[in-house]
Amino acid sequence: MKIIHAADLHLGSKIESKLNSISEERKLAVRDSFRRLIDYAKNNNISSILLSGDIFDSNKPFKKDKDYFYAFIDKNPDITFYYLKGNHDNEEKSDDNHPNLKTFTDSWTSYDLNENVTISGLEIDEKNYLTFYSSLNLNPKKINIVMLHGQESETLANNNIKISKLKDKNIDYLALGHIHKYKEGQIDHRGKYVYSGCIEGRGFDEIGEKGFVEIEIIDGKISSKFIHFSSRDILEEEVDISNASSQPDILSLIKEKVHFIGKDIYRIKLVGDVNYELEFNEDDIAQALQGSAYFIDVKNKTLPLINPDKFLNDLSLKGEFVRSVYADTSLDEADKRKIASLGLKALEGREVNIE
Amino acid sequence: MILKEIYITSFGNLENFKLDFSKDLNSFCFDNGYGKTTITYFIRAMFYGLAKSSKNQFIRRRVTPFNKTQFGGYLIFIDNGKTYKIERTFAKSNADDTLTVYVDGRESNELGDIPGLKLFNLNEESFNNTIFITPKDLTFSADGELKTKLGHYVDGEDETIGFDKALENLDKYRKTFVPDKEKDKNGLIANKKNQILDLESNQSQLKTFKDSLEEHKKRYDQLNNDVKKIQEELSKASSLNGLIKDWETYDRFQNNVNELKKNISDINASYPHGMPLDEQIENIKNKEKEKEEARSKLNNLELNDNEKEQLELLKNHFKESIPSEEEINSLKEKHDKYRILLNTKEDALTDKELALIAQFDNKNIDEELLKEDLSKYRELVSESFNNQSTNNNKKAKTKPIKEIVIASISSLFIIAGLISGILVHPLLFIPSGLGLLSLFFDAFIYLKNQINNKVDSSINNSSNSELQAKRNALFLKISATLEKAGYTILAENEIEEKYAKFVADVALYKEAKTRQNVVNEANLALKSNILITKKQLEAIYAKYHYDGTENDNYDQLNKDIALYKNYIERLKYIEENRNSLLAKLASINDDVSSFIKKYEIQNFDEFVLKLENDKTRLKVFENNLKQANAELDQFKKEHKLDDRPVVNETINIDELNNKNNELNKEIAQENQERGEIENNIISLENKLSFLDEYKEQLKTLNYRYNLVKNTISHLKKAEDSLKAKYIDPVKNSLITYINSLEETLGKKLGIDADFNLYYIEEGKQRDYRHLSDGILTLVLLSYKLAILDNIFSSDKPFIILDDIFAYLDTDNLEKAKRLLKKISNNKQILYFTCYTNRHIA
Repeated sequence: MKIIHAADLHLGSKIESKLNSISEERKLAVRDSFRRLIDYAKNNNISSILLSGDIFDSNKPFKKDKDYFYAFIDKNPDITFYYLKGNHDNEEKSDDNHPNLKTFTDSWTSYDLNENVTISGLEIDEKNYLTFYSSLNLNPKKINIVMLHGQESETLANNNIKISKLKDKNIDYLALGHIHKYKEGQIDHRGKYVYSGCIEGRGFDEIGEKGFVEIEIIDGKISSKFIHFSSRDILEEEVDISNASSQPDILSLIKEKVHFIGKDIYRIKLVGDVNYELEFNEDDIAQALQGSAYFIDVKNKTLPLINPDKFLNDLSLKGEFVRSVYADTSLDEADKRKIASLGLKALEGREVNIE
Repeated sequence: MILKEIYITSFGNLENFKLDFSKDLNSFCFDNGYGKTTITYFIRAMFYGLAKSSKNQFIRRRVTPFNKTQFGGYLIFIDNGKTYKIERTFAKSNADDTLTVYVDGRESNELGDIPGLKLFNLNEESFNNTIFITPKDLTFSADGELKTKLGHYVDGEDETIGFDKALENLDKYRKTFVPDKEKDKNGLIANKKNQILDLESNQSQLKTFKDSLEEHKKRYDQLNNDVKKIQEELSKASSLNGLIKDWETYDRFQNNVNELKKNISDINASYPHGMPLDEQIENIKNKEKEKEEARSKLNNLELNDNEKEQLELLKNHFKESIPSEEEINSLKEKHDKYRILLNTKEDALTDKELALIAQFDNKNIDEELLKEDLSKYRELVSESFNNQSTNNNKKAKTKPIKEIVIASISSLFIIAGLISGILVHPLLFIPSGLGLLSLFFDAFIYLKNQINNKVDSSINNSSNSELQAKRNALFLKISATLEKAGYTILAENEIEEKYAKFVADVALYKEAKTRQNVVNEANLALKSNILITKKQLEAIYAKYHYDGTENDNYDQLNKDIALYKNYIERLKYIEENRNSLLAKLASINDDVSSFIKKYEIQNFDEFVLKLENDKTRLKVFENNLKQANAELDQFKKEHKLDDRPVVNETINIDELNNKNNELNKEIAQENQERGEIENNIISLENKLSFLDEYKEQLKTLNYRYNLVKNTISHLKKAEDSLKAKYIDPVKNSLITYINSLEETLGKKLGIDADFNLYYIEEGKQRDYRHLSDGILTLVLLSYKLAILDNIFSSDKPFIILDDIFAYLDTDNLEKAKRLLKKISNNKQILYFTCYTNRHIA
């Protein structure tokens, strides 16, 4: 028997403004991920899908997103959807009856998948966040899958889950939602907890491979594996350009470091100490890299390289200026470098600008 | 500092080249290409080396001699009373360069890695721009500003654009962020702020939409949302909100406890007589097993159809009676006897006896007569014997014993000779030859004796012929009689032997005849016995209706008796046990039924499964109840929950219901509007998604703006500092130089407060642009010297002038020469030119 554990679809979510030019495609991809998930289930004879919260991005989702979601549930009566609401969609409620949609409340609710497997879930709120641990009663002879949505934490608070308090509760698999990156850990000798992560990244704060978890139960043994399912990955790569002496050098260093995958979305962070005389432009570099991947954003995080010792015995205005900047204790090192760089460029008649 | 000497081992096109310097003006005139610039490079390289820089790389390439990998030389100078010698070698790479410094003839590290830095307190660039003076430093283009030129102080003109220009560019850049005029409307920062304001105005619009949507949704959520709202309002209204919350949490704990208790109670309730113990279940299971066993036994007791059929057949055999023990024993005896009798062989005569009987029966041989005849015959034989004794003696004498012995020895000789001859030596055949001769001789002697005996016999026969006739007749009679009895006599000498045989056989015959009679009688008796026994057996078998052979009947009867008895026993056993088994079954059924009835069991196996499940659940619930109770107590204790607060406010549900009902009516219409609002929200949110980014950008712009302002501030500060350090003293020093030029130039020059140069003509202050290039060159030279004076207030270094008067006319050149001579009174000057007319003698 196989079961899908997914979470944090965030239907109707906004896309990071940096991805503005591809935001429509991203929105569609986020929405389409639910359809693809169901197709995967059908193609792999999976008849149970656990949705561990934040399926909608809002407590009051848009009608079109709700219609989309519930229409797919109604279209697939052979699949049972176990939908536990999260902190984003905790007030969501369908207006209609969906026989194949199983929901949860602020008290523990259990569904028997068969005589050996039980799915239990509870929606954490400000009233039950202290008490839900002790009210969980599970049959030790069964395989117990438990659904919760919240932040793994050592602190007892609303929307927090203290894993250690779920020890020795006969949990075999704790299907969690809330953290958008796949993560797993051990609860006790018997069970483990798993964050499936979101299915599609929506910005540069959701980088890496995204997908869901496929649970398998064979001969009373439960196992799980992460399925990389995102249509495009959002990736961030740091490239040290300290050794670059020109923009083509920077491009070469980027191409050397980053193995672009055409379908994916990249943020290239340029780092390192670069010669203040080196002139380059983030947008020009991003433009030059277009075609290597679906979308590329370049972020300059370098600092100009200034050697103040070089100016110690310099009688010129340049020497005086650099000494003046470095003597200013109100400035931090990065600002000193930037100011010195800008002033030197001005004195040398170079183009005056700050990247 | 006074430069004393340079010696070039190899540097550029110079080799083993030496120059000595005086402490004042040193004017050198070398042909063009001789190496004037090379010397100036050498002096600088001695002080600063050829460190890795693009400029120095160029010089290193330029001064590296052709076909040489190492080049260099030394430089001697006096400073503060000490004599210094700097010796350097250069290679293709600066890593392989060497530096040795001697102070008063001793190697020393006093000047460090870069002696120039230590000596002049100037970096290489500043050294270039001060101590080195080139024509370029003193030229001035027509469109250039002298003030700019003078403001460069110690900056190389090719590397900087000067303070004013730099400041102008920075200020221009600053203004892109915040222009001086209309700063609230234009500039990057104002623009960004405007963009943010625009977006924020959308935000309020978005808020309006969202509020509106919220209203729709609130209504759409009907009663639940309203009830929640009312509850929240109630909760908020209560001053004991926190306590109520705690009590609510307590109630939840209590609910957990109650739920667990209920679960336990539910389970217990489903067992009104208590949960059966495992032993009880085990007992019932055992009872079931016993029941099965009893049933099985009962079934096994009953005869099956075959057995019944068989029993009927047996009953038929034994319908009159079952053979008694005696009868069976008797039967066994009889049967055994019968078997023995049948197996008993009839007695019979031996073959010899039968042969004797056949030989003598009905032959009618008179034994007495034969005996008499034989006696007579013996007498006749005796007589004949006496008559022939002589002959017999003779015969005895002529027995060939000697011949036989000889023949034997001869034969031995022959054999031994043959073997030895073959195996040992041919000469040993000789004994064989001797043996052979001896054998022939022996044969001859024997044959001769035989012939003599035959002659003697024929003489005796003729005298006993009568006696022989009688004897022959009797012999024939006896032979005939014995022939009749089967004894054939071929010669007389066989009579006694055959007769003796005859007599012995007749005795045996008589014994055989006696035994023949006994055997016949015994066999007759045996047959009779068998017949009698058989009839007896047949009678018994007939009684029990067996009609087979005696053996078959006996075996079958015995088998049937055993079987029949077994059946009888079983029937008896069945009779005895059926009742007890039935009683046991009834007892078990009673026990089980009582249990099932007690616990209202429909299906025992399902009951057992449920019981196990319930026991497990009960255990979990009980454990959790223990934990929940502990948590409940702890929570109550920790939150000091003693008395439950009383909420006096009343909730008007009807009013809320009415309100919701009203709202429900509007839902359909609002739902339609909702889609439009949502689209507006999406559109606005798309726009607003840039707000954070814009704010971030504004932050960045402000940051950059501050950086630029800071840069400008520091640049101004540096300029002021530089001015404070150098400009005013330089200006004063320059004025001194300019005043001293009046005598040389014949013109009075001056510099105003803003560093503007002027000259006085006819009592009027005139603009410097009317001055000749030559005068301006001298002014610029004076400026450089003024800078030098200012930098080196006490111990002034030498200055190097690289053909600086190339552009002066003769008149001005002479003025310049005079100026240099004058300056060199207190300053060492190294002046290089390639034209003799510019040489200063």
